[in-house]
Parts: sequence; structure tokens; C-alpha cells
Amino acid sequence: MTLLTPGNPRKRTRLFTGLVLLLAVVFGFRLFAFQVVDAEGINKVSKANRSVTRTLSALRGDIVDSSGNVLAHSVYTYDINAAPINVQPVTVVRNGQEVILTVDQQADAIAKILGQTKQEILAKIAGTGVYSNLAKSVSAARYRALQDLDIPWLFYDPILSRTYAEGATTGSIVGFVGKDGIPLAGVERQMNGCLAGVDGQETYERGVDGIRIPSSAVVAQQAQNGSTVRLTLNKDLQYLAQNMLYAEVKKYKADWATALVVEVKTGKILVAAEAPAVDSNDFGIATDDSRKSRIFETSFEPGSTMKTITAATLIDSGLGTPVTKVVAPYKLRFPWGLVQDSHLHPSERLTLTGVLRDSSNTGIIKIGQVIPRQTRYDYMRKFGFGEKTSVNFPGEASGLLRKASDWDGATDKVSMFGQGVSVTPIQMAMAYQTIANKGIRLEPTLIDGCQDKSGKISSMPTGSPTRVVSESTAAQTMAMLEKVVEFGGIGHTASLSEWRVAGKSGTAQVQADNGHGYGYLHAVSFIGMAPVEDPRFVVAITIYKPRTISTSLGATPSFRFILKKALLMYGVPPSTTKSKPLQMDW
Amino acid sequence: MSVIRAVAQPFSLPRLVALPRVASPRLRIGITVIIGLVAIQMIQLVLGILTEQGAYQMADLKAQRHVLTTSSDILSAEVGSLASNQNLANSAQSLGMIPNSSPVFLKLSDQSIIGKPMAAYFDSTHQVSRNLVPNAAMTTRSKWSAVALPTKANVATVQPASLQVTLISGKLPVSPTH
Repeated sequence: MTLLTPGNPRKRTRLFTGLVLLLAVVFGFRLFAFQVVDAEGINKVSKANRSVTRTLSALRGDIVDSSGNVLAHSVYTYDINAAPINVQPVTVVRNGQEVILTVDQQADAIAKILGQTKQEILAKIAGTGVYSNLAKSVSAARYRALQDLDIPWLFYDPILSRTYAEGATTGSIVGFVGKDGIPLAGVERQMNGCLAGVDGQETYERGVDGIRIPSSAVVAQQAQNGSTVRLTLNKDLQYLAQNMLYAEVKKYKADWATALVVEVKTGKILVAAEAPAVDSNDFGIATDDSRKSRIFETSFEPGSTMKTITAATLIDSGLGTPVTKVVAPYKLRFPWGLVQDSHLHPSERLTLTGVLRDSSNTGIIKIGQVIPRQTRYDYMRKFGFGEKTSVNFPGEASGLLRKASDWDGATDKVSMFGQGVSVTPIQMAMAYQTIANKGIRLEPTLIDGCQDKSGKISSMPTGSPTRVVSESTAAQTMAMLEKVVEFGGIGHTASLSEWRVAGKSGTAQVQADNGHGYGYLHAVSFIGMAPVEDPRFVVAITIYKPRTISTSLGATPSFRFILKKALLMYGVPPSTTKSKPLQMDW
Repeated sequence: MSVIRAVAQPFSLPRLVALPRVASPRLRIGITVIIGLVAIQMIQLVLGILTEQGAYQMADLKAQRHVLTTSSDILSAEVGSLASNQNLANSAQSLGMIPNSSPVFLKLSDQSIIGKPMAAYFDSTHQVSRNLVPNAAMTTRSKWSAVALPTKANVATVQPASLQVTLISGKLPVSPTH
């Protein structure tokens, strides 16, 4: 062969050199293709394989009470998942010894931690799938217990959840957040703009072992945690009230009960308790009715607690005084129907104070009918009826107060004792706050403000104070209400031996379940304030549809208990003065 | 006439002298550059190793932080549960606690006592109510050994006949430090 002919080395050298050059050119082209032509695409694929984009979850802010006690807090819970395809016996170390756990034993151990049966777990890990959820939103303690099992086919997804340390104590006010993180009710919903943070995002590269490549992290956006919402509630007093209401609802077989404690001079709501209430940790099991805050969302005819408003209107209009006299019969007949008192009695010679003491329907009509209906309507509006409070709670009701021109003959009369109009518990409590606060109505406050990380509080806008009645009218009305507690048949059961107390009962007829007329059940209530000489708190109790009692005697035990706890908790000294005499009969 | 006469010159061979070895400046620069590059590469290698080590350490620390955060969450839940009013109410009842419903105030301005000091006394209606308010977050409860509830035998059952503090004309004794 010519090429291999010895003696022709120059040819061979040239050929070899040519081949090398050819290879170099080919490699050069490929290199050029990789480094220049396809570089961008290759880089992109490479980076995609090693880069990770991760959401930096922002924590939702806390909800705290007036003393900073945490009522709602964000924690991590864990979704527990399995890869059924990998389920097999595993070797684990127990007490320093290697032991083999069968699938059955593993399922049994998991079931015990998750509170499920072994059969349920076995059903979930059956098959050859790569994903099966065993449980959602499991607590950190259970997650830790599962991790300690060392089962390689279990994997965990952390989920940001809410926990409510006080459970149903503040459930109806604080509200709750859905599993998807969407606030569904209460302050959680109302103050979402303050509570919700802004998620961040970071991108970094990781090696084949999953370890982050140094200096590769690019934080596109830092997470911003949510701020704290501070409420005006006192969680300890709230609990005492709530526990009392639970006992009373059970005792009276009532539909529900509410209790409010309002600070007279500030309008701050210290207690907004109700029973039954939603446990925010487990809102799924609550009834629709229990998930809402009845204090703000439910309106009903209040009954005789409205007589206080009628009496204050009468005095402030200059049409009567606490000693204006009236003869109150047992019943009054009108073209549209009959009005009668709660108990049979002969005609009684009463003053306006006596009318309130005995809670006489006929007496208040006979005295109050001198007030023009437009005047009464205007005063009721000034007392805050017929419109939402400035709390603007989600789903808050405005109650029903028709224009005076739309009142029929019955509404004109029965509205004097709280029928034919509907109010929310918070509206009626604030009307009594007006009387206790020398005639000036404050807007109720439930939320102190939104507190950022630096501690700066952005206060919530509140309505301006409204002069509703004169200071003199308020004082005279207070004096009459004190006589109700001193001498009233029901009223005296609301008295406290250490403090001077004023208040008024209400026993209202409520709409029948079929929507036609009134049923046989009532809404019983008692609203009052103490100490009379310098009122600190208004306490308003409502028990809706009690079945073992039909008078306000059902509301006064809760009233006394909660009022006394409030006075003690806030260190209000016992009264050292006594009430002045006031004529009640003639 | 001049004569040109050849003069014999002593014959000597040219001497080869070993010149001192002088590196060319280019070579020196080249060597310096190479050494520098090698040094930089070595330093870079060492730093790279250290950084990589740091990355693994950071990953370890993050894992530790996760474990500690989980422990913190577990403990917070336990503390929250034990501190809840529901648990406190149940504990108080288990221990047979009785609230004293006769408040007494000491008025600092005139050192007078407001209210009648009385011992708390026991009957079933005065005992702290057991908890009735639901709380699914109450996963940990205080455990008390069986405590004998107070009875009329070991708790005052009647109002004390007289005030239990020493008073001077209904006022507190004046403190010498007042």
C-alpha cells in the first residue's frame, strides 16, 4: 500500500497533520456552536435544571386584646402525604437496635398519631400512585411524632394556619380564616388589610445534592409580615361573661344569649360575649347562626328597655318629668288592638318613675302619647337606632326603624315600649351609654387600631360624640332607673350591695317561627349601669327565646355577675352615697 | 625613506568569559504572571472549598432552625393551651377554689376602708364554675391529683363576727413612713 510505503514519511506527516486539523476544525465548529450559537438555549436549560423559585410566606398578623393577650396567631401546620409506590417494609433504629417494621405496623403507628384507624391509613397508601394525602393541617406536635417514625415514604407540606388560643371565647368577634387562607368572618375579615402580609419570592441555584449553590440566591422580593390588630376587649372578662352565658342558655333552654360591657366614658367594648359561639379553631362544626356575631348582626324587637328612651324623650322635650302622674290600667283598647300589662292589676296611680319601676305598658303609652311621633322618631335616630354603628362590623344590621310618617296606629303606640321597631344589642347598649354619659352618645369602639412592627398604632376612625339629651335629662333618667333597681319587682334582682346600680328590664314578644305574628316565646333582657354616682360600665344582657322562664328574671343573674366582675376587675370602689327619694306612686 | 618594519606582537587567544546569567525581563514577567495566576487559582480553590463548606453548614443550620421552630411551635401551643381561660377555670374548680365575693378597698387618700372584710365561705354556688366554653386549641390540660374539695369543716361557713383587721376609728393605722 502506497500510504504505508516506507520512505515516504513526509506524506504521512502531511496526512496526519491534515486529519488533526480537520478534527480541530470540526471540534472548533462544535465548540463555536455550543459556546456561541446554542449558548443561550443551553444555559437556559441548565439553569432551569438547577434553579429553584420559592415563595417566602408572609406571616399573618396577630389579633390581641386590650392588654396584648394573643387571640389569633399564625402557626405552621402540616399536610401529611405518602407515596404509595414506595410503601414497603422499612428498617428503623429503635432503642439502638435495628428493627424491621412491616407495612401493617407502619400504618398502625401512623394511624395512632393521626387519630385514624389502621384500615383508613392502609386504604390511603394502597396502589402504585406517587401521591396520597393522609391528613391535612396536622399540628406541629403530631408532625414531630410522625417524623420520629423515620418512615421514608411519608412527606410533609407545611401550611400557614391560624390558631385561636381562647377558642369560642372570642370566636364570634375575632372570626376565622378558611383553609385557603381567605378570611371569612369577624375581625379577621374586617381588618384583612392590616393583618395580611405580602409574600416574597427568592430564586437560587442548587447542586445535584440539593444544596444551595453559594452566592446564587436572588431575592426578588422580601416577605412583609402582617401587622397586629388590637381590640378593646378584655379577654378575661369576656371569658367570665361567655361562661356565664353558656350556663344560662343551657339552664333556660334558650336559643342564644348575648352580653355586652361598654366603658361609659370611652365607648370601648370590653365584652362582646355570646353563647353558643363559634370556636374559630373548628368553625366547620358550628351552625350558621353561631358563626355570626349576633351582637352586631341580629336585630329584634327589644321590648321594655325602650321605655327608658321614651321617658328620656319626654323629659328632654319638656313634656314631662320623673314625677309626671298617670293612672295606668291593666289594659288599653285601641281600634287596632289591645295593649295590656304583663300581670293583672287594678288601675294604678303612678308617676313616670313608677311606670318604669313597674314596667307598665299602659302607663308609658298614656304618658308618652303627648310626644309628637316625629319627635319620638327623631330622638330614636339620635339615640342611634335605625343605622349601623361606626364599628361597621361585617354583616352588621341597622335594625328596623320606619319613618314616623310610615308608622301605623299600632306602631305609634307600641314603639314606646319597644315593639314594632327592631334593634341590635349593640345599638341598645349604646343608647344606655348615652344616658350614663350625661346625654352624650359615643360611637362604640371594638378595634383600637392596627399596630405595625415598630409598635406604632394607626387608630381606627370613630364617629364624633353626639349630644342626644341634656345633662339634666340624663341625670333624671338615671335617677329613675336607679329606682327600678331599688324597688322594681324584677329590677331589684339586679342590685349589688356594694355599688349603686341603675337599669331596666325588657321582656319582648318575638316573631313566631312561621313568620305570622308573635309566638309564645320572648327575648328577655336587662340593661344597666354602675356605679350610679359616676357610671363606669353599661352591661346589656339578652337571652333569646328562653323556654323555662318568660320574664327578665332570666337576665338579671347574668347582669349582676358580669357587672360585679367588671367593677372588681377594674378596681371601682364601692359606692359611698345613696340615692335621693323620688315619688313613684300618688 | 621610511621603513616599515613589522613588529612582532605577542599572540593571545580571545578569552571566553562566563557572563553573569541575566534572565530576560519578559521571562520574569511571564513567570510572575504564571505564579500569580496559580496563586489566585489556589486561593480561589481554597475560598471555594470554604464557601462550599459554608453552604453545607448553612443547610445544616437551616435544618436545625426548622427543628427548633417546630419545637417552639409545639411548646407555644402547650403554653397557650395551659394558659387559656378554659384550662384555668377547670383547674380552679379541680382545686376547689372559691372566689371571695366581698370586695374590700383601701382608700389611700384618707386611709379609709371601703367594704366589709369577710372570709370567703363555701357552698356549691360559690365555687368557681367549670368551663363550658369550647376550645379546640386546648390540647394540653393541667393535671391535678385528686384534691379534697373544701367542706364546711375546713372552710369558713359564716360571716366573721368582727372585722379581721385592726382599725383605728375605721381607718388604717398610719404608717410611720407615710
